Amino acid sequence: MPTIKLINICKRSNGSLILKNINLEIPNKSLYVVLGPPRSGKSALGRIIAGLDTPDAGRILFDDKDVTDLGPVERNVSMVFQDFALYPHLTAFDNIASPLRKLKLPKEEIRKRVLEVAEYLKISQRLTHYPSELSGGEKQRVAIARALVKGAQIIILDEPFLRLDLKVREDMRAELHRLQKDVGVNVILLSSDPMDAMAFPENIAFMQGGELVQVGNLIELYENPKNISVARYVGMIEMNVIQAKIARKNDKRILDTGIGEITLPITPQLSGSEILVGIRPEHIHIGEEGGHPYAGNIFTFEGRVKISEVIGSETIIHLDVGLAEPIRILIPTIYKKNPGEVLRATFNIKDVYLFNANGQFICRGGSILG
Amino acid sequence: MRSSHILGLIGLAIFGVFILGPLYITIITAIKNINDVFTIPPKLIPYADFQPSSEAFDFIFNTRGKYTFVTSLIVASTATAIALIPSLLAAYGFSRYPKAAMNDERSFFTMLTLRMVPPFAVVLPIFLYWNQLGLFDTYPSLIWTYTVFSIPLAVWLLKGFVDDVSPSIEDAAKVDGYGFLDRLRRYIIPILGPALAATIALVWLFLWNEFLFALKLGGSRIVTYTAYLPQLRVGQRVQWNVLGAIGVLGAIPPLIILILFRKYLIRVYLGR
Amino acid sequence: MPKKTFSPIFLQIPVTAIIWSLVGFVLVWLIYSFLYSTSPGGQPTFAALNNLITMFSDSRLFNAVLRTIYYAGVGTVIEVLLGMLVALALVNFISNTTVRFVVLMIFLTPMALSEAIASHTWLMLLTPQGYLNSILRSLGLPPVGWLSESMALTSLILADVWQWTSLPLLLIYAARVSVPQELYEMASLERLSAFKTFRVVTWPYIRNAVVVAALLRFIFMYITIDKILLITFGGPGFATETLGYYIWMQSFSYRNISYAATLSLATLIGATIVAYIFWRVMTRR
Repeated sequence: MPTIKLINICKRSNGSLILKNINLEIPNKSLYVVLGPPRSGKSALGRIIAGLDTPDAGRILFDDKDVTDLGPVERNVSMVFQDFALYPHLTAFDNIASPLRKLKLPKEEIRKRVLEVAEYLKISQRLTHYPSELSGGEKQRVAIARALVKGAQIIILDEPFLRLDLKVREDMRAELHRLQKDVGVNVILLSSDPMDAMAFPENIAFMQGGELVQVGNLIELYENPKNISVARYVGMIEMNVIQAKIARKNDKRILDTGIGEITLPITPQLSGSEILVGIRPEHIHIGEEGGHPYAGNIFTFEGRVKISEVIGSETIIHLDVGLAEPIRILIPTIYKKNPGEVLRATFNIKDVYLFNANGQFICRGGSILG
Repeated sequence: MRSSHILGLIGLAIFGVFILGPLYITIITAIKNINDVFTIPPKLIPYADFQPSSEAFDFIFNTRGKYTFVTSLIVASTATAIALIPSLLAAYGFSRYPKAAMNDERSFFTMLTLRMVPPFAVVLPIFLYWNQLGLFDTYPSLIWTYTVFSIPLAVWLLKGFVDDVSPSIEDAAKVDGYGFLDRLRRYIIPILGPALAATIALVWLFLWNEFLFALKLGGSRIVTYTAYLPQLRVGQRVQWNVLGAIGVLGAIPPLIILILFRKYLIRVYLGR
Repeated sequence: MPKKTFSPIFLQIPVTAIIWSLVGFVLVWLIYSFLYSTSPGGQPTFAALNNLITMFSDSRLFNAVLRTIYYAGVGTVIEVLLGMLVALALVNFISNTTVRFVVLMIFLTPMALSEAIASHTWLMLLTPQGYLNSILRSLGLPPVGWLSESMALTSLILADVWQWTSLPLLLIYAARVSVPQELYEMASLERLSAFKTFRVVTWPYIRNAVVVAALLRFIFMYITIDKILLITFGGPGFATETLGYYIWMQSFSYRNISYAATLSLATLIGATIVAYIFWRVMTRR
């Protein structure tokens, strides 16, 4: 429930810094996603919030109370681990009861609470089974039940869905929503899956290389990513990024992408000689101008189909355009194309993301074109 | 393909005869009368060539022979029991804190060296040591020596087993509020369960089979079954059948352990 | 995590204390006895130099070392090769895994036994009036001097091969079984010869096991003198006197305490180096 403040958190491991000056405020009763690629420091941060590790520098406050030197029990924090960490020699019931046994509650009380939580997470039928007899989703529920049963105010889940099937993941995401609404705990989700960010769009912190890169909601990270990493990560499929050279022609800036030129008015933002042009696969359209929802500012290019995958009701096409990487295109319908076929594709320059040579976000095409 | 298949099976059979032959010889010698042991032609088939006799086993049970097995049992079991908890703690340290002082690779290597120390290079000083302390030919000297030499094997095995237990289980126990001793007692040891049993069995086996220190540190009172064997060759008539019988009896625990803990045998050599 | 009073060093203290209670004395004594020699009833005299000179000019020692290398070397080579052959044969020629398992267990039996038991088993076979000669003579063949000066070492190697081939067998078998079956199917699709298949598919997977097994066997063969103590007593003559047995003689028969300590110390230094090599090989994987 509390507001969590992380102030100047640093952590070393094996001599190098794995958390670099993290400053973060997590609102109370929120469902917070810490998103980032592997080795970005998410787990380390999670362990520090939980109290399993102490930071080498910095402080942690719960509702302005300094908890930096307290352990997980004193902080009233629970954790759900990536591999569920269920005790293999205990039944599901005993697993869930474990934190309560430590508190030395009377047997009837323990039984009551365990059954309550198991009921809530719909695993009452499986309580007498051992972890080895449970499915992935069931194990997850037991792990969450164990985390809930002691009435913790903060629950941290470290890559909880990694080992679950896609369908089960969806179910569990819905469960987390329900949980958070009903019980009102702080739920902190550490994840490397952008789909989790999309399922819980209100509070997202993107981490990379031990640093907090950007904090905000999904729209902010999607429309105005701070840098290329955020832009690539947050999105259904990774954004296409093309290197381009900037040249002057008459009174316009020309971005030479290698597959065509983008003409833009001169602005101070377009300085330097190199620039990175990003365009999301979902913003690229197949076909001629006529089929395009917008008018004007259209960039057209051609290529050969390298791979065409149909996933569910969508199609992803990898188009070989003569650049180092093929261009990914996401089409919202089923669109079968054979490898080798030539396709025409277009996108609106307004949708483009511009980054400088260091990967920092400059602006969207739309803000220059107006 | 068929012919090489048959050749291969014949080869395996020959190897099988090579392995089983001497074992069979030992067993039949154990049930022979002393006069039947070495004859020409050799008497190899019980009831056909010779009448099985309980002479050898009678000898063992009617003399101090049976006590030698008791001695071996006491010595091996006590040493294993003493070495167990310290070895578990050390193995835990090596596994979970590989960067900490005394728990790092170098320390682990030092322990490994003890396993590869030639006993013949240290048996004299160890003998003199116990002799000086007036403990020659007593239980404490042999037991303590065995304890020292069983630690490297025990730690080697246990470290591999602790490695196999996921560290997140301990994290979960920490989050549930359990301190170190509680975690050890309630979670780590029960989870290690069969692995712990295998470690005890394999270390015990190593000590049950030991010969050199038993020979030199024991005298007339402390005689393990291994040290007893050469005593049966003193004098004019070597009691071959008793030698065989002791071999048969002494082989029973190893064979039981081999069958029960076969899964873990390879860890003695590879650590995992 | 609060409570930093717990240090992992505490975990190591019990074993360290137990080990050093003995090892400490041993090392100190060995070094002292190498440096100083005390004749009974006399004063300690500085002996280090003498010991070293004796050691480097001791031809009996030199021969013992050579014999040890021969014994451990030949034994290891035979055990590893034979173990490998049997392991591969087991997998290739017995497809029923239960049968294979039972056969493997039978093959592993000798290594579970004490060296003392194995020694006496082979004594029964090798002794001049023993079973091997009885069988030969009953077939009309002349008896063989298994424990004679020319054959004793070889007989010991034979006994060791009997007992310990199962170790390389076990390690290589485990490695061989871990090879994905698809690789062999691919090899047969490409019509590779048996030798080629071995070299390209099998060997990369079992190579480590072979090396580890060889190292382990070599080390344990030069460390163990049980069979020599029980079957041949270093003889006849010096025929089976390995380094270990020679040190044993110096320690308990000749009672040259100072010299024995010197040799022991030298052996320990060598053993540490070998252990280091073994460690590097194991951690490289």
